[in-house]
Amino acid sequence: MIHVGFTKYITRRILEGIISLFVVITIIFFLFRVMPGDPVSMILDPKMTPEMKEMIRNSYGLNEPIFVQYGIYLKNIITLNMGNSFHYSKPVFEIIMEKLPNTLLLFTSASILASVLGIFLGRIIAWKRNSNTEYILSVVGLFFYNMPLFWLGLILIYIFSFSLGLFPIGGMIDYQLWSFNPSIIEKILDILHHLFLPLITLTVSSFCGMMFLMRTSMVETLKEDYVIAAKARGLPDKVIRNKYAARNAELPVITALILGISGSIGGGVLTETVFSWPGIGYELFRSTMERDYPLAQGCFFMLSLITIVSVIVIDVVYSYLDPRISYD
Amino acid sequence: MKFKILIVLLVIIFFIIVIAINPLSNTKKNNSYLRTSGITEIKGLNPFNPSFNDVYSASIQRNIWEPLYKYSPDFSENHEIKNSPDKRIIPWIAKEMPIYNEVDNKHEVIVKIRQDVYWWDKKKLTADDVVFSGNLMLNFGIPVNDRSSWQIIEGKYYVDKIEKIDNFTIKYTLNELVPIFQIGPLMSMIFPKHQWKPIVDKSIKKFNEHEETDINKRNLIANEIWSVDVGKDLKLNEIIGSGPFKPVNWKQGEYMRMDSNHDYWAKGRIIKIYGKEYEIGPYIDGILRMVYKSSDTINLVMKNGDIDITSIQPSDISYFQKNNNMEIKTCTRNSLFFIGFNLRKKPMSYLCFRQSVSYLYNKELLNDRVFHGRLSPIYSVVPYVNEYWHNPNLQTYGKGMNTIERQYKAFNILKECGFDWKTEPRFEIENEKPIKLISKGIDIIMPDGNSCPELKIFGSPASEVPDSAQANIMLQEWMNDIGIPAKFIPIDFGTATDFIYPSDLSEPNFDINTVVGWSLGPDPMYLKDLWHSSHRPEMISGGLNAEGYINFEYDKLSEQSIREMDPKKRRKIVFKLQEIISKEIPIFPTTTVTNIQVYRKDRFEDWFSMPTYGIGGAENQYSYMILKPKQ
Repeated sequence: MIHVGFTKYITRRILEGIISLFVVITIIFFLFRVMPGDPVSMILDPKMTPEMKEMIRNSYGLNEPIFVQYGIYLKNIITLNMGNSFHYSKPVFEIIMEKLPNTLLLFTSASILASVLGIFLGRIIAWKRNSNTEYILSVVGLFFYNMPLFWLGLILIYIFSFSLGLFPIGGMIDYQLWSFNPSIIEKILDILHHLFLPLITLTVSSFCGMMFLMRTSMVETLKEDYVIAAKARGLPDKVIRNKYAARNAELPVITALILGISGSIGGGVLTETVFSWPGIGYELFRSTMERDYPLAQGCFFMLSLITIVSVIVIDVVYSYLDPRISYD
Repeated sequence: MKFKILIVLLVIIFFIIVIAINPLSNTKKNNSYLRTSGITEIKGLNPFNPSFNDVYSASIQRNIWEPLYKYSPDFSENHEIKNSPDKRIIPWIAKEMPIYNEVDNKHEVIVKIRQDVYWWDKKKLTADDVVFSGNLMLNFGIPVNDRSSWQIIEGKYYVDKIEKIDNFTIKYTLNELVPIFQIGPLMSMIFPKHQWKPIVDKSIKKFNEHEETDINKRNLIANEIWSVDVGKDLKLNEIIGSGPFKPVNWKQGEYMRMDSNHDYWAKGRIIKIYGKEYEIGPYIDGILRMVYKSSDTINLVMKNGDIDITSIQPSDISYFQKNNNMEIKTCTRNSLFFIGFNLRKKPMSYLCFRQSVSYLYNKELLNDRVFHGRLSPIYSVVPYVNEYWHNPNLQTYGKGMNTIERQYKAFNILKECGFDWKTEPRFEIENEKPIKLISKGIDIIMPDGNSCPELKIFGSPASEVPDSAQANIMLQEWMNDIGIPAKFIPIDFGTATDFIYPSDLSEPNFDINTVVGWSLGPDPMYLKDLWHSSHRPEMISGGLNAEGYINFEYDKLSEQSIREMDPKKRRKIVFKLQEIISKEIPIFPTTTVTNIQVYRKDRFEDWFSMPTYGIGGAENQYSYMILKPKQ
């Protein structure tokens, strides 16, 4: 049964989310307009006459007064139309829907894998504090955590793709295979083959954060009365660790996991560049640099939307994971 | 418990092995597709869309739709051609060179086209298609990217009308006969009327009832036509072209596959390249182009043998030289990098100051030590690689001098024209030659008695172009050594263009610019657009004369240069224009790109390098149609 307080709380959070989203998209719009250079002034070509530039500026709607542009922008956002990308001359929504799944596939699987590994190892090192296991895992984790992501990616590509020839050097698909209509199984296996190295790179470089978060959280939990009581009751170590301490300690890790997935949209530029992964992070970077306003705004809107939705989801998940949390 | 972990581990290991071995990797077809790659993706295929002005989109489009005339594959001149302002041009869809007549103060040009040119849907390419394509420009200004070569005066076409005489003869009536007619209207792509007319008619119908001015209506119609998503609204297999390769599969941002048109109308035709005869194919199965987002990745992919051609950095030459299956070729591009001076500001307005900076910039040393041969020194705004128009007799500003000699020369030039220093730079002189800078100059004072302000050198950031940033730091130091207060300001391209080429009719706001570089075409018509006084950004929005150069003799000559039909006379004018820029230095030409390409000679033969464009790549339109798979 859904609690009335809970429904009220969620409604309030959704309303707050909508207001936040409105503020964010407004700031994004005006930030882009105060950036130096517009998409047309960046086209430097002796063949491009001033008249042609004017025509393009008109077709992009850049000659409209700024508040008219803002009005069109808001209308586009509400209708999820988002306008056409200057770069591709294609609907922004279409481009985002083409690239976002690729990013989510890579980063969601990497975040989940890193969290599972982080929770598992964090639990062990919190339980075995000051042991060799803790030292070794901490050193290994920090080593990869501090290693620049693109460098780690390049090293892995050099070893496993270039020297050993086990994995592809880049991309998400084998274009030779895909351009000749492969079967679904062939497509899936091919994507997995391409996914492996970027996935490992992201997992290896990020599990450490989760591991330490889990350790810190669990160390705190181990001091709780109910854990001490469980020990006093003579319950086996495994049960105390896994059922009593770890489950409660996982809450901050789950928050980090969900926020990490939403943050990956903007933060994946380097990984996507090194592995030539056709995702939204690279698109966000490129569109910002090229002043492709509609696409950049669309990407930021999507990023904000996913982050705000994630925060609301975290709130909901919390109540299920920790029955002590009340929405009254 | 341990048993469970073991099972999980075994499953994971099995999974990794399956993925790593990839049982499907052997199912790839054994074919003779040419595999290419690029960091930049193909923006779009609609030939009318001005956003698709990148060289990669254009190269795909040029493989689909072809022009009446082309430049010869080796830019060789055909001296038998009469009345042509550029003897490097050869007929392609046209049967012969155009015939020029003068009738009632107007010029008529008769073009005969071949009768054996077929569209991919087996229909014949006729005069109707040529007239239709030309009228798209005259009526709607599309393809937008070709428009500048249809105009001498902004917004006014020199082509009055295009008419069909018979199925294979077209008459162009010109208000004015200009040399760029041959590289404009006669080199524009020809589109099938039976495919595009319904699209154009639909667009006209949509906007005809709108209450708009004629110009607005025309622009709206043009916008509607160039917004057709070629690949989606007009599916790839529905595209009708006449060229050697057909796009069949395209995943934007990832790959594109083009299949050879085995019924290509030009198949079997003989073309001469560097004196050797080649029969046109295409002989390969097609072209596969993959997008990799970093040059490091492309490099590894080439080393791995997964692609057949790419450009490399000088540091990679030794690696590829060891590979017997690959060959390396260098090609000097027709591009122009330069130091641009804002002539509206002091001290850049002093000619002697600009001469002095030109002496200081040791481009030979930079090419050798910093660019590692990647950027060759040039001494004219028409680089030497464009032999036809290049003036080789220009001042070289210190070529052969070492850095100290250059600094000494620069110091003396400034001193002679009235610059002064609180403390002059001191040089150690031996046998009348400077051998060492003993102490730096301090606080230079301009001839008007004012201190020289700190000069900002705009340049690309090290994160984007490291060697260019290094060169700018060296220029800054060379200037500082003789007392000129200069500072390198790394600036991203978008921000720089706002300062250098403002679009709101304000004056450009910069001192010295090294950010911008031009990729040039074979015709020097750009000499007018870049330095004509009417093209200053404060005079016309989008003007490219950012330096603010004003010289009425130059204006007059540059206008003559785009009107002179006699190639000899035109060459003389173009030479003079180069001389003026070289003497007055609104910009100081520094370098042009040397492109190093590596290709697989074990898979294909008959690769050839087109001057300025190189082997294959995006701009050499001939290479892939004569390339043969090796048996």
